[in-house]
Amino acid sequence: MITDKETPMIQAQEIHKSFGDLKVLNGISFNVTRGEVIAIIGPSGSGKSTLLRCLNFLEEHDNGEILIDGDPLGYSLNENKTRVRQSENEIANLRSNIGMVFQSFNLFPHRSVRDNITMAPISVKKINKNEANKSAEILLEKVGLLDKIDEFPSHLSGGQQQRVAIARALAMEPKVMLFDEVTSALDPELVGEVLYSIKQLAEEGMTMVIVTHEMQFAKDVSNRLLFMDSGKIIEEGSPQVLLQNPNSKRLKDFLHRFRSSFV
Amino acid sequence: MEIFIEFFGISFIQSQLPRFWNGFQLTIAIAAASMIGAVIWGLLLVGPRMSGVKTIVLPLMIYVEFVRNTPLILQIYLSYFGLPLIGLPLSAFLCGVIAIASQHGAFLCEIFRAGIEAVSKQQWEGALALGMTKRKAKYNVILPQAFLKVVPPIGNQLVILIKDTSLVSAIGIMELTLSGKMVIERSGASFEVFLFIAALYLLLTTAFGLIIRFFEIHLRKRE
Amino acid sequence: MLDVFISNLPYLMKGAVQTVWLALAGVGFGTLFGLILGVANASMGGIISWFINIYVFVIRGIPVLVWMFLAYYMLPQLGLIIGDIFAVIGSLILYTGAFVAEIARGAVLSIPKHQVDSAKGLGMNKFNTLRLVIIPQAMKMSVPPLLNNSVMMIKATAYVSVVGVWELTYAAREVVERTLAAFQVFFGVMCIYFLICYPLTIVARQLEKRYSYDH
Repeated sequence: MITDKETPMIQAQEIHKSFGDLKVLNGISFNVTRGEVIAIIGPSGSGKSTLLRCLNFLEEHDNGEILIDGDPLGYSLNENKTRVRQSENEIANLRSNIGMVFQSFNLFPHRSVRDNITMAPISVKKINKNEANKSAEILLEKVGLLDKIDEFPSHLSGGQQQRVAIARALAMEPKVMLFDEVTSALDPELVGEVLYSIKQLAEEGMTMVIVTHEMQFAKDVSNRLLFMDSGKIIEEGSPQVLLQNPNSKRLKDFLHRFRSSFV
Repeated sequence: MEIFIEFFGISFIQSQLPRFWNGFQLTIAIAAASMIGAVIWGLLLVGPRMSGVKTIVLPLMIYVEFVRNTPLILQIYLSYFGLPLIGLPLSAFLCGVIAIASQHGAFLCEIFRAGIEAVSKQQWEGALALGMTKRKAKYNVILPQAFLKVVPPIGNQLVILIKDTSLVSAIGIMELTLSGKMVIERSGASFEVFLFIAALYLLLTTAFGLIIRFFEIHLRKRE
Repeated sequence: MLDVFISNLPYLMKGAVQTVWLALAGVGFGTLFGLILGVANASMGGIISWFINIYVFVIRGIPVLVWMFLAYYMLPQLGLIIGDIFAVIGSLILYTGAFVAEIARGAVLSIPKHQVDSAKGLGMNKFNTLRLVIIPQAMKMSVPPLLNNSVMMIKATAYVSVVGVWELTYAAREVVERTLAAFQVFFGVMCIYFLICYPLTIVARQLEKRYSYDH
């Protein structure tokens, strides 16, 4: 769908999700405008990862609607206003416009860095090999890993693998990037290089949703902060305000626990 | 013992070499045909086996369990005595190959399945998140990784297959084992003939094992 | 549909009993033999290991049927007139032993080194360490693979029919050659083997699941 600049890049309306008896998302609604960077924080079990994974339909929302750049994701409404599940091809198509970076990198170990980055553009977007290779080189240059282009993932450090994962997601020229606790699995000294790459992306105007534990980073890079607990958005607002002057008790407790672990 | 070997052993075996050579070739032929049949059969079975459709999966599971818990010799007999009765008067060679291929194919199906399941779910997620359909993800990401994992167990299974070819001697195929038996029965030779036969099998299984090992190492180089 | 099978069942069941005897003797003694070899291989090292490894390699690289033929022809010619049945049982023991030796060796070697260190620290000598610490745990771990191996060997008892020893499969072939009811009889006999082997397979699987939680 060709939308104007006014249409939010992401619209989530009344999202509910359960795993069996466990209710994980309890009526989540929020919008993300073009170029905005949202950080989602919250205790484990709050549903923040599940919410992120619903945004590219890796988890299927039970109720509610998700629209990416105006297009419904996962389910469409037919004339009778009933939910109809989209076809696999429709979903794959939508996903190719949404980039995701995972906590465990999920690089393909059996292919080189170059192939990891070019595989999807070639097989999904049908871009020709030479163009794909050129783009791969540009992207790797951007994350500072051009010299590793013909290496295999197992030869790279965690931080390097994650940056390749970012380049791989960017190779599909997504409209929005999702980051799922991308530094949680990294050794502390490798976290900085990854956060730097993400910050660069933000400065270039990419729309991003970042689930993270790095409070300082959330403050630095995001325009808006969402605090989640027990499947609901408890507080929402500018990161400076929320982190300095939390309103709700739950956010106060969460931040307190966080800060005390740094004492 | 030494007297036996001197008198009968080496020179006698030399005189029978053509027979043994024919037997050896036939053993290799049966093994090769059965291996190809088993791999194809295993590949045909694994798709439906993993389809998740209960009406397909359950019969397949029963088939595999039944085949794995019954002796191959009976399957060979069933093939040899039974197929002609249903209008398929195939040669003993084909009957033997069909029986061996179907048993080992069932084993290979399970090996393939285990290999595919061993590829982490996260690889699926990485591929799907990039906009690949399940099919593209399967062929570009999952199956290549599963392939690397299954090579050693498949190698083991195929070595067992080579040994199992000796069973078709029971239906009159003049492969290596039956050749040995014939030589002893007809020329009153002594048991060293079977030592020679045994040595040839050892050569076959060892050589095949080495080939698999080289293949494995070559594949690993890419990672 | 199953009339021929059923009418010959008494005869076939006699064969089944024979099969069970062969299995108990061959697999039973073979397993004991193999356990000793495997533990010796893993704990003694040196020349003993070398010999056992060669033994395992040679036995496993050759079809069990060939071993049966070898025993069948060799023993009488060497003056050991012990009868066909014992010759094939001997080959079953030999063959089973090689596989069990590998299973036992693997189990012993997989006991974490720190267990041995703690035992040493408590002042135990090598023999006691083996007896009280390593072997009990290794044996427990080995049960599933040993059960699977037993299933394999029970199936192998069927091959003695090719050498000319009478048991279930030999009886089955006799009946089929007489009545031509190939499907019923062979399929029925396969079911008999299945009834003997499958319970062992199931038990092995259950035990495997249980052990994977222990560690």
